[in-house]
Amino acid sequence: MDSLTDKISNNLISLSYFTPELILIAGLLLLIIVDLLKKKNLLFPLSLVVLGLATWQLLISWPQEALLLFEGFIKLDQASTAWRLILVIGAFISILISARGTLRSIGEFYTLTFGIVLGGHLLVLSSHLLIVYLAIELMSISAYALTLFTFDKRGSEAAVKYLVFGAVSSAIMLYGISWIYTLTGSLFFLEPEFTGALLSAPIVPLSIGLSLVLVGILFKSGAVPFHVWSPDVYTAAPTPVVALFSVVPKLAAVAFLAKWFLVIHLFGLGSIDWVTILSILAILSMLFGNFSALRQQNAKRMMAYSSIAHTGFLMVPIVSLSEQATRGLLFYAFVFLIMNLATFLVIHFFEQKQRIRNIKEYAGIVKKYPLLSILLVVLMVSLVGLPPTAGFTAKLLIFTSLWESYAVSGKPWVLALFIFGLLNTVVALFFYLKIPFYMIFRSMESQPVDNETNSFPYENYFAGLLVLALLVLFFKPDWLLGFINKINFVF
Amino acid sequence: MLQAYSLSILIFLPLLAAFLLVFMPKPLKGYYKFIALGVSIIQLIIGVNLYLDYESLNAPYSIDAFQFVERVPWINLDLQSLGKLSAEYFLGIDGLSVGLVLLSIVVLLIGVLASWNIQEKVKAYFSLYLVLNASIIGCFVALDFLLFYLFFEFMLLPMYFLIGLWGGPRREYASIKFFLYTLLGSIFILIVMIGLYTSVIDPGATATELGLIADGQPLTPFIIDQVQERLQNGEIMPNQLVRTFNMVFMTDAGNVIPDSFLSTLNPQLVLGHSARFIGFLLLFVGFAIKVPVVPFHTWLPDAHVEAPTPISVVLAGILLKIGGYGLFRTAYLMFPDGAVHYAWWVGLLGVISIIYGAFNALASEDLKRLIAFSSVSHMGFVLLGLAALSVEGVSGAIYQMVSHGFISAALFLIAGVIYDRTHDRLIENYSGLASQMPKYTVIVVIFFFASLGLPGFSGFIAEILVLLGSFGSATVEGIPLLPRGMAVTAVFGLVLSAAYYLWTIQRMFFGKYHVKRVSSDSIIDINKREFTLFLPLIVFALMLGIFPSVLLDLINDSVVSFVNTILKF
Repeated sequence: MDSLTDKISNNLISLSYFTPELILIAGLLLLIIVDLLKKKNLLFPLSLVVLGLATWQLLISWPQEALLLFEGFIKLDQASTAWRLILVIGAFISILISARGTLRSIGEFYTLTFGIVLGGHLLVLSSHLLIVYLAIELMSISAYALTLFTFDKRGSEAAVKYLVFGAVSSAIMLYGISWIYTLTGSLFFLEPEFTGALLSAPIVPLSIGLSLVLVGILFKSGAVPFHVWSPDVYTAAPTPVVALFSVVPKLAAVAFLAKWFLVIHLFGLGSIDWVTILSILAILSMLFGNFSALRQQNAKRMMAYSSIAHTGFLMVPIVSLSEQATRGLLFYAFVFLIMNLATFLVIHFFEQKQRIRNIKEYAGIVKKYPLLSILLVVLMVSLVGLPPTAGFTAKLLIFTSLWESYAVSGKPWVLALFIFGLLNTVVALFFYLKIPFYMIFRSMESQPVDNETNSFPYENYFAGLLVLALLVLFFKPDWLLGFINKINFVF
Repeated sequence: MLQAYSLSILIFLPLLAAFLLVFMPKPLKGYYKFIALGVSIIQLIIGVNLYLDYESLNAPYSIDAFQFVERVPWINLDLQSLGKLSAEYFLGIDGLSVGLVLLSIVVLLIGVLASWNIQEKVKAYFSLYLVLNASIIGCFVALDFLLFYLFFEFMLLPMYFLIGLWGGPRREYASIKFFLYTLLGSIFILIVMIGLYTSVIDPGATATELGLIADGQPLTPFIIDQVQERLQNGEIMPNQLVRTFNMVFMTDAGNVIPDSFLSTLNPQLVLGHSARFIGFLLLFVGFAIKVPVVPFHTWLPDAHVEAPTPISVVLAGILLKIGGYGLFRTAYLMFPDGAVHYAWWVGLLGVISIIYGAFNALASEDLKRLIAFSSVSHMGFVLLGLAALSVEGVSGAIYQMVSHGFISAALFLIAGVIYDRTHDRLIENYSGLASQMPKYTVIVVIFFFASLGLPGFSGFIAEILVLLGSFGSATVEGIPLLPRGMAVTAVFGLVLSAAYYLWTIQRMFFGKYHVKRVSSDSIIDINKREFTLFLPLIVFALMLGIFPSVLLDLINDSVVSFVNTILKF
């Protein structure tokens, strides 16, 4: 039994490894103070600087080996650092997107964004189920509030819907955690004792407990059948917020799912076939996301269903269960982040400039904004997953590892996932092409809302840069993969 | 010096030009088409050079059998426990592709000339056309599956916009239908591509990995044999394997990892069927959609009818051939066992395409639709010749692709000429055009006869080769692959094609002059520009019809090694 001083010194040492999060916490507090001082202009640069600092900290404090911090509640390793980088970059770009247009309560927007990032960090770092719960709550509560930021009827409706569903799923998850605790006597889910207890646990209570926990994670990642909140939230919330939602909480949940899946998979020795279950859920997410997206009129709502489908794709490397697949997952996550955020950037621009919300209103926009339209076409091609964009490379990587996994396991549902996943591309093409279709094939029906002469806004450069990254990552995926390949995954 | 990079220049020149075009200011609007024309003319010069320098090599199917080879590492990934993965920028041509590359260059040039009067969105049109140009050539010269797939997919996007923006009244429907159908096909191809590259190794790079040769040293056949033997005996650790997208290595059964999914010795079963047969079928369907083979052809009449004339020309002249070429290069060479196993079915689909396409053409009221269905019918001969797996049959299939490329390009130009004048393509609305448009009538008669297989034209040589080939198809274990009835039935297709062409000539050009809807003054005979479009096509159709050795000498050795590679399996 450690003495109290040992514990304190351990925690103090732990803190020194926790600098990126400390920076985020400090930034969060600073933002509140600056907001209280009514220096609203400072908020935007300040938040970017803080996120930049956190990114820099993450890069320089790259861990060489896995460390257990805070008495084992937190496990810091290279994979979680890579995930945290992705989350910080996601938040950074989301905040850049918010530069156009004005949000009410701008100070709270930044603070809550930081809350989500912090929650995401905790979630990827966690090695204890209570930390998982806390992290998910931190993300969720910030997210409920951010949904409301249009301050209109639809926003509050969506926020309430989100809150009710979210609260129920959290409660379910907590209930599941309590089942697991009764079976294992521990919540340190990365420890061998936990795995051992799971292995010897009776199947019925075990499957109940694990399924309930899975509900909470799937809810956050927006997978079918726990996705019902996301179309409403995506439609109602301001676009920068939606951009943030579409990557940060989702990818944090997916990263945790990858970790958790390894635990419950129990080296394939467990009595429950989670691979099949997750494969079916992934197929459902893709099918449901893509087929529902076909009918959508609103651009953001379409993107909501698209992101449900992408959750299905993100689950593909998770069920593949190999080191290579986990690398593919990181690659896919990064590419997904870039293409999704760039798409929301362009959607946000048109929404602010031309009051465009529905897909039909994009008609003829290519005449006024040729470059942005072309960039949006490339982004859509990347979201479909066609060459020459990184969207294709990412799909190629994850489906390759799925193929290898099928070659080893021979599970029919894995094969089904492989086939459905690839065939879904055809469905996806149909709806992703809808916006380019209206932009380019139809002529403008009404006069543009904003007739300002400067039709070369900075979004051209910004989106151009992101699109360029997608193209470069197709032609030279080695550059990012070389970096990812250096990461040690614990298997 | 530049000679060595001929193929790269062919691909990158149009891309560069497209890039330039995008940044050219509006006042230079009139010059856009000259850029596209200039690119095509330079390509033609390079093409002539290729033709003169290409030597038919009597070599077995391996990298040495290719010419103008360019091989540069492109993507190298370390998969750690799974070894390495390599994709290369690998170009080259052999007898299977050289004719098609030359065909593409000529048809693309004619396409530019046919686009001379495009008035709206000129910049976008020619940029897209140039991108299409690059991806078509790229498809025919790429020897790395990933690179091939890149070009294959990349072709769809410009095509989608070219049909959808400059097409006829139902263009939006036709363009998305085209896109979705072809994408579905390429997903099938992608599935097999993933299966293949995880199962096939690069013997050269693996030898380097094993320390058998030092980096940069030339690879000798002895070392390849050594690597393959060790591979087949399972003596190579998984992390030393270099998996590859190289299409030539994928053909060599010695490079297939023994316990892999597509292993040649003991292929695994997927849902009770051999994985290799499924691989063949998926590739077959993927490319059959592009060819198109009945019953995967339904996108074609729509796309052809709605596309603007120059795009129809490119679509019929070249794009369909990419489907055929894909069957040769991937499905047949990589899955020879599937090719032999399914020869009967492939032949049957070929015959069905010939007959069904011909009957549809016979029933078409729209001139362009008639020509589109005649394409389906004539591409059926490619399939039939390929299924026969005899030297005559395969030569005939390639010959038919090239010949049909020239003839169908001319046929769609013919439809374009009349459509430009009257905006009406219904056959029943015309009669007696011969009296009003004598020159046009002569050209129509020439190409209709060329297409129905009159001796003296290229179509005759192609079809006679295919029929001979399928009549005496290759025998496996003493049993011919195709029953003779197939060849006999295919001949019936020729009779049908004579029927629909002659009937069309009779309806549209003979009899009393009458044109519905349009005042008769607007019907003028073809002008000089239009005539220059037809002239080279007439020359090629006649030349290939009278001197078949022009093309046969080029392809013969490759065809022999193609057939040997498949049958020795």
